[in-house]
Amino acid sequence: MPFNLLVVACIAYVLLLFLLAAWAEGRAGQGGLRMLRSPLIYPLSLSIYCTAWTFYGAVGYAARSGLEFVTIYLGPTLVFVGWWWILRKLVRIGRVQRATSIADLVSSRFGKSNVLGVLVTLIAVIASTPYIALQLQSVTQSFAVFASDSPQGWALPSMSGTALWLAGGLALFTILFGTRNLASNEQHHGIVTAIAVEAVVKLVALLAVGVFVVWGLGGGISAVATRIANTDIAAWQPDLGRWTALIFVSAAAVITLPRMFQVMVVENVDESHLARASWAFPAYLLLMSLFILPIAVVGMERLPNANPDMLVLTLPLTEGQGALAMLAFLGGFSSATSMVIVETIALATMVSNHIIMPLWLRLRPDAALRSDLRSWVLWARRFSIIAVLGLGFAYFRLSGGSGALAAIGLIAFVGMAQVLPAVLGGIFWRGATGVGAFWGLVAGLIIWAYTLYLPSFGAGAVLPQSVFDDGPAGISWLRPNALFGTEGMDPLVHSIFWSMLINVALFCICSLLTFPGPVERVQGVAFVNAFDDEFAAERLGWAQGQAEPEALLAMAQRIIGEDGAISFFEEAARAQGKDGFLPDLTPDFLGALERRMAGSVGAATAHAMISQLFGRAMVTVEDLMAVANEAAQILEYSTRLEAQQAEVSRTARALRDANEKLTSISVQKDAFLGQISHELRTPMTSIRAFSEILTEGDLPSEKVAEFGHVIHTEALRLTRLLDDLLDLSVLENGTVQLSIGTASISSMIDRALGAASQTRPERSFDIQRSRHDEDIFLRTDEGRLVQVFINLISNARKYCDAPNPVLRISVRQKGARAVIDFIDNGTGIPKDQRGIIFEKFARLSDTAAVGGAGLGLAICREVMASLGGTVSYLPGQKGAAFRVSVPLRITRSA
Amino acid sequence: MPNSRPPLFLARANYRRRRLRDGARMLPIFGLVLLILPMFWADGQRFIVLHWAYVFVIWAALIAAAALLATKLTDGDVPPEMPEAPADAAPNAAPAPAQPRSNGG
Repeated sequence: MPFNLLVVACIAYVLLLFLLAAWAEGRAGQGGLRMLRSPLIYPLSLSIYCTAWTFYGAVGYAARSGLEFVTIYLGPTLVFVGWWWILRKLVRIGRVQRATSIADLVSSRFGKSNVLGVLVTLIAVIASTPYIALQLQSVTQSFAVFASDSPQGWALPSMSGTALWLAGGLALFTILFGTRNLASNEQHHGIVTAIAVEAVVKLVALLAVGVFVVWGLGGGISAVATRIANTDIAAWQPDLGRWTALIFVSAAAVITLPRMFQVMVVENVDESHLARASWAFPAYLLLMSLFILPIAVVGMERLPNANPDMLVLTLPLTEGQGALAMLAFLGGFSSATSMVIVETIALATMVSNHIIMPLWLRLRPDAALRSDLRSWVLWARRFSIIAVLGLGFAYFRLSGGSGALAAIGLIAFVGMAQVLPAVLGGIFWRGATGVGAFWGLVAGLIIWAYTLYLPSFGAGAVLPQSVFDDGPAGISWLRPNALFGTEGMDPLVHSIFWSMLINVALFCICSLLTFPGPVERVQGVAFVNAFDDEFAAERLGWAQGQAEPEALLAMAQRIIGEDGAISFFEEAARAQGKDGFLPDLTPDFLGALERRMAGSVGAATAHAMISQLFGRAMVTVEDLMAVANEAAQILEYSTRLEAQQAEVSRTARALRDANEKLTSISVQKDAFLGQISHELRTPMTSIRAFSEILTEGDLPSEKVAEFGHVIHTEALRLTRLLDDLLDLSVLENGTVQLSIGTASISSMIDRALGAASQTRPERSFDIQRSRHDEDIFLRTDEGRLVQVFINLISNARKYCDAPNPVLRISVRQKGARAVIDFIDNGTGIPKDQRGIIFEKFARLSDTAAVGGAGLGLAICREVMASLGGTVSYLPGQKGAAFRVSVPLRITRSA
Repeated sequence: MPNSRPPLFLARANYRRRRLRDGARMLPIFGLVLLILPMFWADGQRFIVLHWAYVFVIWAALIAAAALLATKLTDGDVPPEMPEAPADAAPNAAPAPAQPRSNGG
């Protein structure tokens, strides 16, 4: 097959891809996405997992290590078959948080920490550079195969020349379709369409070669099976450690490889596509691996001296199948180019978002406000693409295009697998902290580099031979292939085991010991509970800031484009119920804007930029405390309002009570006036009547004396009543004058008994008293107290209905008070009337009343109150009983 | 209790859906165990052809099972909420795992 035909075919194929990508971009621009993003495209685009390493390298791997090559495809199969567990959550989080890369996801989860973003980017670049070099190498090798085979003696210009052309072409394609615009969701429809087509080409090519080998050369399945059993490959012994470790590491890689994250999460347009991919992608992998072993076996038989890594190409070529070889070449070319393009885009996104842009913003902090950031981001992206491809090319030049393909691929896998603990811990464990992730990643990176990456250059290249033999500085338990004396392990298993073990251990321990920042905790909840709470991401609180909406719009325009920004702002304003383009800067809106901008420049950068506009670098604890303070103030205000309201209702209640009291007092006053007029009128009537009779004259003198006596008695009664009323009024007003002196209770009772004997003198009372007990001296107003005693004794004389009335007077000292009880042996006062006996005009029965206006007990009560004592009815004494309690020494209160 | 039947039916549907998700989670574990199994076959024999066939059969079976589960899981998602569904019937079933989102891009 002529070499120039190959070159022409190759260029035609590339042109076709260019046109396809351009067409897809055009369609996407017009909104014709339905067809572009059919469910078939997604699993096909995932096939960039199968690079030239699969296309060429798997056969070489099988030739060297038998069936072990399938582990590289079994791991992803298990991950996709178990999509419900990890991938579903990862895709959801990636979409909600608008993660633009695996580094962005990790940085975003751990408090938008740019340090972590840089670290993951660094790991990705270190691990992917040889991988990209590997793709360049395989394409140049395949060119070389054709060149050496060509009968015209076409000499390949040079290996590195081809690689340079290739790298340049790839850079051009990637820049053209990868940085055409700054999509907020970082999706590249043209590229995805192109790699989907390439996926079909490589699958068809490999299957065609496989069918040709099995049925064209091998003589059918059973014959091939017999051949397999009879070759050296069959001597391969399964190794549990390697088998399991490789399944694990490939499963980890399919989640963490930058290009896989790019197509799986970033380029995902519909989460339901993942469900289809859960079986379609494993099916693709199965088809890709189906004929690897037969090709290896038949190839090794027919071309024992050929490079096993190129058997897919050399086998049809030597068998004279030029067209098939061409197809195989295009398949390998597709594998290599699609991988390089997507990997470069993913890495360039990471490098520009996490390294170049933050660095630039730090160097020129005012740039966020002034210059056109959009073009800056795009140029940073373009520069990153060239840098990444340049690194790959440099690695290819330096390594001299040697080494088995499989080894380089596996080293990259183990390197990227170091990100797995941070990713899984981040989406499943709320307690995972950025510090834990950082130290886990650092330890994993160091151990991986020391035990696998650096030794892969060969002893003496980077690490001197002595390190391999005796360990660094003679410490034998630190030898790169036998850490801590684990000499029996396969080097790859050894590296996976130690790097992952220490990575996970440090991640967990540091997470347990450290305390996450507020943003980190919020993000942790948003990630772990991605499905519990659709808007968990909204919770990233933005306090009401100082930035003007115009300034924000101006900045957003530079990043997400004029149309995008304006329509985004307009939508937000409409959602808030406002006209125009400027919404209120609510926390929700700021959070949404930040996420939208994060789609273009990465979470950390977007956060930094909005923060700059708001005049602060981070949402610190102080900010959150300010928010909390605001809430507390509102709470306090409402509490105050509540208190005031309670106060008002209390006052209202008091007013109501006062009103009721006033009303009842008014009623009492009316009753009192009624009573008093009645009490006054009765004696007045008799006085008037008798005095009228007297003025008429002509009366016998005894009648005159009798009537005069009646008038005198009634006048006395009136006087007494008026005295009592005056007394009561004085006492009630508290204006009574006390004449304080010292007297013994005994003498006071004597005086009272003497005075009271005037009341119903016809009744003989038996007075029982104990003079010994009465020997208590009081400092009080003697006259007033005696007045109380007289009242009580005369009451007893008046009302005691016993045939042989007895009045017992007992005196006791109780603390600083003297207690005097007056107990008779009558029927006492009925229970229901005990409450009113101390009220004015409360006379229980008028029948036995003699010259009383019913003011006596009321006066007693007032007198006792003014003396600092009490008078009360004493129940349960088989008669009327009153207790007078009086302080031994009166204390003047007023 | 004439009303007890419809909730019972709904609960059963939800129950099946949740078990389906459990199945989706278990599938990779079963797969891993089955794929590691040949490592314990007797040494020294030239088992590679048998091993080769075994791996691909298990692989195909896993893909078939995943296809079945994926179809069932996404089919059930379209009407996830019956209007009469009791609120406590499916506390975990609220967010549809794969809602069709055509507004992307």
